[in-house]
Amino acid sequence: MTAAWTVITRRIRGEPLLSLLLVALAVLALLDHTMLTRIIAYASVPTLAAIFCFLVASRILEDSGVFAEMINRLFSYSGNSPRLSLVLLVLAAATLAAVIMNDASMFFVVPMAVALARAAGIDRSKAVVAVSMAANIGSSLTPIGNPQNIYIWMRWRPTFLAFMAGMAPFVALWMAILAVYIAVTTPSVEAQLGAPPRVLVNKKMAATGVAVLLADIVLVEEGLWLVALAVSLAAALVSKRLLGSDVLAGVDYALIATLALMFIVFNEVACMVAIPPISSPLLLILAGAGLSQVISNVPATIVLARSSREWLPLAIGVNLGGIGTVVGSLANFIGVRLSGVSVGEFHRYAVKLFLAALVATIALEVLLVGLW
Amino acid sequence: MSSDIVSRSQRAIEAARAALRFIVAGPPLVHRTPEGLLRIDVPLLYNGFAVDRVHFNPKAMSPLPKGLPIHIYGEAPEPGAITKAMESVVAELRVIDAAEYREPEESWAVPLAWRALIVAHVKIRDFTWEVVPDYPLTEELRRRVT
Repeated sequence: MTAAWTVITRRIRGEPLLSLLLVALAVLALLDHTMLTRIIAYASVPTLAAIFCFLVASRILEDSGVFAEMINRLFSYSGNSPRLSLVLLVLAAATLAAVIMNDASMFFVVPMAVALARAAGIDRSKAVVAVSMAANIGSSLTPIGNPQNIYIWMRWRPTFLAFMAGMAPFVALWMAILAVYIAVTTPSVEAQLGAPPRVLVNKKMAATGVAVLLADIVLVEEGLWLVALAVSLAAALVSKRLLGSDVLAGVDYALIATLALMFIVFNEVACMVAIPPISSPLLLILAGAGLSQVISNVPATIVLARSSREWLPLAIGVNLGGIGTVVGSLANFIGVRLSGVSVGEFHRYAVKLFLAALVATIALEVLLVGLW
Repeated sequence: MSSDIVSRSQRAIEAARAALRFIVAGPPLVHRTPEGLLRIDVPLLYNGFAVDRVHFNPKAMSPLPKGLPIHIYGEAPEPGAITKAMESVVAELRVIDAAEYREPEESWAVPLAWRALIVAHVKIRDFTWEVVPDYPLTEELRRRVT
């Protein structure tokens, strides 16, 4: 018992964001004792369960090596053109992030972006910004691409396809902006890259991962999150018994705990601040995008959800908010940590991309919906 | 048999050499013992997975030979400084023209050398010539980075 407590406290100390949220929770509870009665409702257990299910499916797919193989195949099509390699890597980042979460996709694309930049003499920060933004943009397309989309999906319950249809024009617009960025910033040179050797692929594990992912999408969409939880746990146990992969040990529980605390703390903050309802879609997009730059896109989603009648402007705003500062999205933070690019270097390119995407988004929204 | 096994080893070495072009240094993993001693490892990343760890000497800001991690008292250098030092190291890495066989994984462990030190291995699966990830290290890296 004491040993377990030591492990837990040591783990919490190693998680600055989690520790900060725990302190915030304690302060809020001291300010208003009745908050403790609302914790379960705020924590949004079905949303956390859905996130856990998708993390399990994602981890099975990641460990199978199928994504690494996909990136290898793409590289073999790019010949000796670093620009084409970066375009293909960006497409891979966007596709992966739409299927698994954007944070997870960063582990596959960032090392390859750094290797590509080194081999081709491209500015490393430009390449890292390109794949980070692609992961954020790609994750915007589906309800399972990032935690804020899962939150919105579970709260408003649009269908999976309706979510994708709503986001598709904006995702296409942001990808077009990213394509222009790559065309402008990447030199048209030739470099001997060669095809990277394949990574060990476990086909049974890949098939298990695809099956669990599809089952989880259908079950969560139908509101059967408890069944989805059971399916995911069973798949994790099968992976361990038959394939030797301890998926459950690899799930990021600190991330789930952090998200649970974010849901509680920022729901309480939203109650205290009492932001008035925002009826203008354009205003909601601007609020989502702006607030995400300061407090990150998951907290921004929670704070603004209470003031939003519609899910789409909120989803557009907070996903647009992921394109920009390191704070905007956890994926950006992972990109910086993995690549060793400084925050300043990252912002030099990412903020310009954010501003371009913001202006283009406003124009598209006005075109589609009107000014107010 | 003898020529066959030599040619298999050579293919593994060629695969390791091709992989080396895409290997990058990951963020440093700083370990501290309960007694306050510091140890730094830097994972080598290949296509979404860690393939091995390089022991790092924070005093000399250079790698240590495989099998000789050091534990020292003191503060860890800035992660950015370690990454920068390791970038130069990775650029200087070369594949040794010989490999050892690891039966449990049915793979060839191909040494990577920096100057006169073997600092890491890349494991290449026999017959399929795929890079074998270090799954526990990959887990540790993902946990630390997020």
